[in-house]
Amino acid sequence: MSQKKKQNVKISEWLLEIILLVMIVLFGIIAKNFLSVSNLFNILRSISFKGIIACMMTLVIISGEIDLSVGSTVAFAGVVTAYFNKLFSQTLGMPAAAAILAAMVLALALSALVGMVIAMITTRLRVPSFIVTMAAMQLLRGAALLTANGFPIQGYPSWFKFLGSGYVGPVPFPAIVFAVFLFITYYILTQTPFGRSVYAVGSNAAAAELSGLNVKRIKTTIFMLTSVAAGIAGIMVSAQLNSGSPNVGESYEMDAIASVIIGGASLSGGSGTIRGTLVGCIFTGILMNSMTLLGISDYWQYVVRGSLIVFAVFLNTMVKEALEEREK
Amino acid sequence: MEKHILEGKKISKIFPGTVALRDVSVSFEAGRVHAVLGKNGSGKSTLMKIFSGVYHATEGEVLLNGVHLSLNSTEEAIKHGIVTVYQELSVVKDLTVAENLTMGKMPLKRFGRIDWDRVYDESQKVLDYLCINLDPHAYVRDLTVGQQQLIEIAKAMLAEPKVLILDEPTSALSDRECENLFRVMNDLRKKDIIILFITHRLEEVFTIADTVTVIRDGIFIGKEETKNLDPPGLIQMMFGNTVQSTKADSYVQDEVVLEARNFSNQKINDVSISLKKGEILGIAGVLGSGRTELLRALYGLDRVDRGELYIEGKKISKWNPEKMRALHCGFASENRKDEGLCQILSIGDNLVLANLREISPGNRISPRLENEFIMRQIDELQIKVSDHRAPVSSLSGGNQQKVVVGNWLNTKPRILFMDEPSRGIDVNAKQQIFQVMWRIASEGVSIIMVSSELEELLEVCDRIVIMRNGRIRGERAASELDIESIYSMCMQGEES
Repeated sequence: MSQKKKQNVKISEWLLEIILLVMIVLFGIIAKNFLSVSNLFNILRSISFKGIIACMMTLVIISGEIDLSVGSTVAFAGVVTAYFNKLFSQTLGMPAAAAILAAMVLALALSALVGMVIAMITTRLRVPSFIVTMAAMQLLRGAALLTANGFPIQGYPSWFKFLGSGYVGPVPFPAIVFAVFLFITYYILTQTPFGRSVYAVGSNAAAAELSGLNVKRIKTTIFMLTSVAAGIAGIMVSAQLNSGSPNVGESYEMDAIASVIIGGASLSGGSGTIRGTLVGCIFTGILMNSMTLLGISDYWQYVVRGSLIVFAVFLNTMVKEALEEREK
Repeated sequence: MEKHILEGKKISKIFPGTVALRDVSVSFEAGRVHAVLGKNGSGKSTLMKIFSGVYHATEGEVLLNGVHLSLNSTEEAIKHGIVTVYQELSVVKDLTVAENLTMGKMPLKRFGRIDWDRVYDESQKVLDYLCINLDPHAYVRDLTVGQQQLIEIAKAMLAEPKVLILDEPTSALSDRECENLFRVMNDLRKKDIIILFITHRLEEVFTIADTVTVIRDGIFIGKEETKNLDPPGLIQMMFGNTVQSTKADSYVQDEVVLEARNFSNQKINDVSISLKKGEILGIAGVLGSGRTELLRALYGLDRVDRGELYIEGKKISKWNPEKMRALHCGFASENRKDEGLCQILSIGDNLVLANLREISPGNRISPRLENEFIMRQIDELQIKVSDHRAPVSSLSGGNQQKVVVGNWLNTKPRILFMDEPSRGIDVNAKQQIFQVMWRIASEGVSIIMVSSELEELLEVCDRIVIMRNGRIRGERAASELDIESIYSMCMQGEES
């Protein structure tokens, strides 16, 4: 015990990583091919889309809010990109590269607008973000279905799918975007005054306001960043599918929130880290992948996932507290 | 029939670091209203909490009708018939009057169904018994605060108390609602109940109480028949012959740094004040007088319907906390837990919260600058910390208050609004906070301070403004005031 103190390594701080490592070793033994390079990159790509969203969701949850609309925003942004790409290139006759670029900019601008409206209703009209974003979830899904008229919109240039399923060397392109997002959110949260105020707003909005922080502006920024992140993920998903589909992105919001919470953030705000969110993302990704490798039926996967999320949160809160007590 | 009698025998209560009560012996008999008076921190609340089982006396005993009571919890106190109605209402607003009255002991029919006939019946009975004219079917949220207070009393009466403790029941009531409450108390007098009535308002004592018991600095000063007392005599009992220390040096300069003209909103009425450079201005008044509301309006936390604000000669429009912060003003809240500090963040985080811009050149937090600002305040304010990365909630009240102040000192403020800067902190920390206030005043910082401790205002401030019912009722240099005159200005009628 005393030796551990000297080294200053606390098990409680690395608890989640330890669990993750145990899981990896376990699945490496029982699931064939789990530890193969191609499978690991496969996992990396599968967690990247949700991971991008989870990064910004970390900000949302630290600030004491919630955003349920991101999954629908994924579909909405993909459909909008595909729709306007088709409109610009086929109806207006713009060159392919210009058309797709303009469509992407438009999709991201609309996503930002969505975030802004959510934030306005939450901060000005004081409607809880849970309700506002639940409504937005329905609205955006409807908007995507209406725009696409129920069916995927085709018509991307062939090179466009690089954004969703391309590789740079052995590394999937979405994983690179995910890494960039991880770095950006890490930088924001640890290095910038904005990041510090996100924690302050989530810990005690009244105190933050008294200290001269503009709580409404901070929350608006967070919601806009999150919607844009969902928009980026949406464009990449539609690139991967080579079409703008109105049915994608279902339950992305739940997976993103689960990753953030598994990572140790508190839904009541004020705490959470990007390191935790990354571990949370990998945790859920590995779980899905290995169960598929083991040939567990889809139906059982839901049951196992649900149980393990509860288990992870339990470990991360109760066991961590107990360990911290002992380490004192 | 023998009347009930509640006695406290040689009660002492020692908290770590302070003696709240010393050897207090007192007795209260049934059929009378007993007022219990004392300034803030006198120990009267501690005594009441010992009677109601919240605290356990360090020494001494509580006797009811000569029988020793062991009161280890509020439940035990209630079982013995000692029921307290607290200042904070505990009614459930979305339920009816009858549901509130019978909550937790609702009469049942077969299969665990609620016997609604009896619920309304019993509620009506207790309301009639107290001559309270309220419909048991009414929803509590539709009632006035005064009526809700009466429901609390009715609820207490359902427990069939021998002792009824009313803890400042009038502090949130209008004059008419007070009358109604007093009428109910008058009726209760006829029953075999001991009524203890805690209040800050002198005139109420003379209206309703039969006896007055005064506690000062944890010591029992006396119990008198109200009819043998007059207001000056009572004030004398409460405050004693204290020699009031006042501020030694004044650093007031001629320049006016803040001027508020004709501020009005729901809580304050046509208030104008001005503040000079280096001045410490105190605002005195009872709870609900508009003292805190004035500070909040000045800092842009509450809306102002009418009024002009000038800071350093410039007229300010549409001010809010962000703008006030940019104008080098700061606001130290009375409520450290809810407004003052981000409790789960670290001590260091809280010390630079208002100062994030200054420690972030190029929009990136500089750990070196951050550490500088944190350590400066920890040193200067002598905040007792082993590690400034520990959560601020791990600090004592006094040290937390220093963090609140330190957060603002780091911004190099020109005007500081301080709401109850000494609330809930020990004497030592209090003196340290005052020293800091005097020091920054000498450096040219102006301070507006609200406090419910009148001696404290006299000690700390240059000038004191007295508020009552949302208006300014007087203004004096602190050196011209003594505790008696300021107390009666805060409490009494329209003169002065």
